[in-house]
Amino acid sequence: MSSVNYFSEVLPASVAAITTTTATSTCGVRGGATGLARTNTVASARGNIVFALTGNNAVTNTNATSRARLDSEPNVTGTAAATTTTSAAATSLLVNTGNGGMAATSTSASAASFVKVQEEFGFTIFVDVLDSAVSLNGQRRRETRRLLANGVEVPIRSYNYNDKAGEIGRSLSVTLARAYLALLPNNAVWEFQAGIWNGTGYSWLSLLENGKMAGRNRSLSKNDDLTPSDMVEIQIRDGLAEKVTAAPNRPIILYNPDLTEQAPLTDTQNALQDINGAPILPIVEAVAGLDLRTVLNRAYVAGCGFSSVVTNLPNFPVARVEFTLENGYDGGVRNLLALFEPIFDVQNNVLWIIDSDASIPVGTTPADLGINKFVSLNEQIEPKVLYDAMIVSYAERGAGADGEFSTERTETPPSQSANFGTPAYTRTDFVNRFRDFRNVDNPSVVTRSILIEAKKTTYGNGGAVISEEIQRDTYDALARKTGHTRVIKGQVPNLPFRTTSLQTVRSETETIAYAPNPFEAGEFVQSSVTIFEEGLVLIDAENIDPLTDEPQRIPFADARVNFLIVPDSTQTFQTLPIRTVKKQLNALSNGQVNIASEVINHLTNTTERSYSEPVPGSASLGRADKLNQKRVRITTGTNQTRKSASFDGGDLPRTIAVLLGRRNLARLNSPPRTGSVVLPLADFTLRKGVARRLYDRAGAIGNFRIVGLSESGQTTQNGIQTTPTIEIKEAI
Amino acid sequence: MSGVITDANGQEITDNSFQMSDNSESPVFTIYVRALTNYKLTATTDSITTVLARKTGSGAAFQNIAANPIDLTPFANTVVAYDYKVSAADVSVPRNSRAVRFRCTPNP
Repeated sequence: MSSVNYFSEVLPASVAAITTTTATSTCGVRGGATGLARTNTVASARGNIVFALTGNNAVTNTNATSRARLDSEPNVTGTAAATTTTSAAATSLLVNTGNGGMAATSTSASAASFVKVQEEFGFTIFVDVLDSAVSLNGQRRRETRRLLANGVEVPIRSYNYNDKAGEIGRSLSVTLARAYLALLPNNAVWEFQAGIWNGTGYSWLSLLENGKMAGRNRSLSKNDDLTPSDMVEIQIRDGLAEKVTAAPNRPIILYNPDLTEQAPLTDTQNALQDINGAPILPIVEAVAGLDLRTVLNRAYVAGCGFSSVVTNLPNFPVARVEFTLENGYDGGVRNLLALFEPIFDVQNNVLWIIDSDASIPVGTTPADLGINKFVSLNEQIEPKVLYDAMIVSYAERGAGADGEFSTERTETPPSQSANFGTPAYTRTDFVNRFRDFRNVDNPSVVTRSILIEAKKTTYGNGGAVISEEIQRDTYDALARKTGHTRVIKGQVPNLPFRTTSLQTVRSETETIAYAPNPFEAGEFVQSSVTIFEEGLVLIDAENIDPLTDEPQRIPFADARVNFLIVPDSTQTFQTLPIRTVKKQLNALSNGQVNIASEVINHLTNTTERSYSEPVPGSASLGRADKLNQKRVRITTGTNQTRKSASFDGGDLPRTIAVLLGRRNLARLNSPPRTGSVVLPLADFTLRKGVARRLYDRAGAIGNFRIVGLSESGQTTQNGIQTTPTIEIKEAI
Repeated sequence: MSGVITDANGQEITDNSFQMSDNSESPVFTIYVRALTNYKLTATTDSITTVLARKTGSGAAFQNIAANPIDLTPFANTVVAYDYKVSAADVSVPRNSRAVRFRCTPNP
């Protein structure tokens, strides 16, 4: 079986109005020399309307056209027009013009159209622009430090400054030069600055701003000569550290409706309450196209108050994120970022999230940090375990995924016969119709299949149809069965005559409902099943129901079995409601399920059965996601002889998970060197994320990124002596 | 079809980090772009830094791609080399760290 897959896409402007934009694609399948399409041949095409979903303006005159064609066959054409409500629909029609061509079995064509956010790519340039008055082309200038409280300098004796790896915000511990508490104004705003000599004075660079005093130590003591040796030490946290403690007033749950079912509401009975007893329920918000960029903006810009977020992390779809009262906005994002081990830095109120393992581009050489430029270097390599393969787990989008389309096929299982050669011979034929789901990326592969119609026909001796039964199942977008209709036909007397004909004797309609599992986030439960039956009912005017004084009403099947059908009489048949079966399933917190069932007989207007009982087990049907967990094995060569490492990409899509998996595998086999470097003098050009080329006594040992900074200093007769230390991690 | 910007070794570029003096221009870097129809090279605007670019070997003057994006349509479906550099204006503090996004987009 061969297939052709062709895809073209026009990506128009995202925010401005889009007019007269067309995306077309064509996919053709050629038949053989006879001009007949071969069996199991699929031609599918997709036409897309592509535009941004946020801040979008009206979309007019935009069409997506798709055409699937079987060679020497009539064309199958579908069209789709985008509406101002930004929806697209497509229809496909197979037309036989009677020109002699016949579609071979299992041959179909389909078209699908959908709306998609535009794609943009690029990279981030991080630039440190240095004041030439102080940078002097690499020569060192005199540096100092000062502490300000509400803009007024507070002399210091010593300090320890930290800008730690993996943290947002800096901390400072300072011993004051004079141990006077009066120097500590209430609710002061603290700032710690680096001063660099520019030839005529100091230019000041803020290392910690909008700081608040987090703690204080004070000691009173005397020296041997009885002079006081009092000390006051304060700890200051900067405003950034305060920002990342931001949390919403109510929990916020963002979910991607394309990837997951609506997040469940909290059980109101056991929900967190305020002081007045009112439940604090989460805000649940569907965000179409929810991805990492959107989550970072919601967390750090809207939530924490940064002016923007800049990152070189790859963007990927996010199924769901939760900002809780306990963990706040920052806590809700960290699990998405943990796999990347990013470096956090803040410049001009812009949060930088830097992938510490991003490779340094060819052609870019970090500045040297030669052996003559540092006091000491500590460098280590973690013990390594060699692997030649890694099993990467990732999430693959299932039902409703972009690019998914369906085809239908019919199967005829073998007939079942009984009592061959006797008057009681019967033969039952089966015809099942399936819907197969495929993806345009790989249309020859069926990703999932559902039975949509099952037909069963029973023939008696002589070939007459005794009964026929057709059941059609329905499913929702998450591939959950939502119900079915079943029609049963049988030989029914054509009253008042004795002759019979095949008629519908009973039809059944089932409806299944689902609800969020109140005890398991992300899962759903089958909450109710309702089955409504109607069918042929024998109306016997000669026998009166003593309770209703109306003709007896007996379902056809019961009447037939009990020989109550009398031709040449006043009996008739009517199609009436017969029975309704209702089942309510309630998940209990102890894992049981309570089933409450009620059967209502419509003919007698009575309740046949009604009961409620708990049963063991759970009604949960698993995570209501459209994401399927998949695994892929990546290797380092062609012959694997060692056990495989594993990497859990969680909900990451395949491309991102494999990228991180390869990086992880490379790191396992060649762990990055880490360490610390003590510098002789303060260097204001250093910050987290900056790369430096390190040297040992033999020469260059590689490129390293600064992942953390610390600095200690003390006031001397010659000014403040600083001892900076940088934490480093080898760059790829 | 998604695009990628790579270095000379074909490695995707996710960031470039360097330091430079104010009132000067950075060294020239070369990138390789898979050109797509209607896509343009541009950059986010910044008050201190300006991204300048030109097609490698064209001999053309560097242009401010934030204000005047470069159209990739003439080279669609090919990989094209471009030079870029950063120009920095005057700063009044010892170090002013900026982040600018180099973009390849149909919507500059």
